[in-house]
Amino acid sequence: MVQVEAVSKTFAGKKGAVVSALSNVSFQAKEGEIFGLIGDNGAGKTTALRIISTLIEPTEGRAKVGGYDCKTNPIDVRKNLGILSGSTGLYGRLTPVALLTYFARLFGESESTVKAKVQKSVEEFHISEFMDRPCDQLSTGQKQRVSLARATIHDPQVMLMDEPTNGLDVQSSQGVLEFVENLRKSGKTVIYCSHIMSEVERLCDNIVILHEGKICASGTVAELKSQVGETSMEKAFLALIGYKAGANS
Amino acid sequence: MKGWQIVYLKEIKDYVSDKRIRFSAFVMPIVLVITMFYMFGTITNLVSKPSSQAIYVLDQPKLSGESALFVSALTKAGISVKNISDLEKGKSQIAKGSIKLLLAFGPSKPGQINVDEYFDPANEAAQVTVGMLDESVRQANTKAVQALLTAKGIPDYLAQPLNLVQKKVHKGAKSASGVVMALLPYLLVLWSFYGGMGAVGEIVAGEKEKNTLETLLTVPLSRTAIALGKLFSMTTLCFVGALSAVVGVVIAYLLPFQQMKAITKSGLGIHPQSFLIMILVLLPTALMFSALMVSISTRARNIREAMTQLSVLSTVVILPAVFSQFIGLTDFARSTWVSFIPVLNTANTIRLSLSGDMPLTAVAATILVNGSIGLIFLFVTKRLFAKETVLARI
Repeated sequence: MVQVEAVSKTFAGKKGAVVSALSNVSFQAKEGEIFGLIGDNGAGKTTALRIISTLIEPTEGRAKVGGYDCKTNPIDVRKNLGILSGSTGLYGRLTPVALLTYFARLFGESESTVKAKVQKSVEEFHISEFMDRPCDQLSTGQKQRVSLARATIHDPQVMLMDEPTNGLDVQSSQGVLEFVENLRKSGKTVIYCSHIMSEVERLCDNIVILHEGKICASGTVAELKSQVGETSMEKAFLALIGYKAGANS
Repeated sequence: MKGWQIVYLKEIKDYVSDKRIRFSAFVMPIVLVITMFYMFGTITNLVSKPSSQAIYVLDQPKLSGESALFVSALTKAGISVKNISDLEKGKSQIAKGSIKLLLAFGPSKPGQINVDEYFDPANEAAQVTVGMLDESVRQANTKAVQALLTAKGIPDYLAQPLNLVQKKVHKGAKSASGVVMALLPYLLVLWSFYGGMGAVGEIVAGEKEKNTLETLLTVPLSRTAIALGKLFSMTTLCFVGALSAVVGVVIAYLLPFQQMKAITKSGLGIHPQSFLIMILVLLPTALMFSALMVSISTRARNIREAMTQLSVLSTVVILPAVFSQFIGLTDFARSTWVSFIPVLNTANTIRLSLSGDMPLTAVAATILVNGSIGLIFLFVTKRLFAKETVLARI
């Protein structure tokens, strides 16, 4: 469903320097799979997600979603994508209903189906109790429920999730994780980025670990652990990126 | 609904729901226009009222004969006449500005009263008082000479050997009142810029800051459609800001204040033709300003950077707008080249139409010039939207 083939991305840095954010990265996420994309800060996770979501173009290589090329067919790619991040902003003055109606229209829903779609989302994400309040006045957990509803209003085949539990309390995080698990059950593809290894361990079927823009390891949770002989995902991750205790202190 | 229309409608709803934007684009122009007209009316009222022009007379109780009659005539004309007994004290009060005009009656000859006018030439209020007195005296002198000539059996018209008679040639359409002609073009240009200022920081730079732009750019719409929706919503806001200034003028006229009546004695004089020309030239002007503002907001990293750059731009708008208030005093107003100077052309074309002209060439040139600049910046905005580096500049 999502194919990333030998993708590299460079940016122009200060004084003409070239900064490499991704270097020859390839992976594939299949239908009904939760695919973990993990790495330390600056590893290139967000750049990879931005390339898949058509926000930026790769310098080399190509990415495809549902068979559509992200560079040459971005509109069709976006129709198949739902995007959610922990830092996703909402339009503060809009109510959840107005926001969902706006995005339903943007995703091409006809006027006759918009209302029903929004109503379904409101019920599915338990938004009704605060649906007429401006988004600015919602709690972090409520905002994330609205963001989830917004990201899935067009029933996308692929979800890109960048640290979706960032800043959420335990209960709200649990809700998000259960939602991601349900996506897998319904045959959707999820690309899941997180720093929280317990989440990665619980959710991800396959994982790619990025370090300094390159893939340093890939496989299932069990495979990654066995590669370095560790029992916890957190320790395995640190070993795979070459972390040495005290080196950063 | 087309993609750009969905974005456009969302932005318009957002403006209407934001108290701050409602105030800056709709309420402020109306309130400021009414306030300005009220102040102008008050000043006009004060200046034209003889009772507000106090004149001091040196040793008034000691005056007799023709001099006393003259002072009495001033009082009858409604001028407030006050006595002062010391010339040096009077001069010092003139220097302080507490006395505008002091009259000192000198030795009279038969048939002529000699009066010295003491005033500060740098005091504008004093000049108004002196002008009013001089005009009254000129008229009184003419009447006196006419009476003298008639008494001697000589035709009284000889009192004015050179007789100037004003013959007004009207253009058909009546012109707007003086204050409307002077102020309205300036206010319309200003508000077609400042109408959008309350929202422009947020329209793109604010979306970057609040992390909503990336979400918006991942919907299946072309970036051009998103840019157009945002830009046209800003054009609407700028245009409505300018129209609010017109609404302010109409409200000011309808308010039952004496101050307003003083400056609009024969009505506002805004004809349908002038109104149509206003709409025609304000639309491309609003497009020009909005495209310029949205391109700055798109280029900026955040709201603060956008607003800093816009405040610099605002001076470029204010200068030609201020100049437009005085251009009517010169022959430049009718020069073709003025129609090719952005901002100034809008104000000047509106001013010409308010004066009863039908400035078709100026209208066409204004639409062409401002519309072209608007389209150039629309293209710039579209290009900026397409650049990933600009959108990621947070």
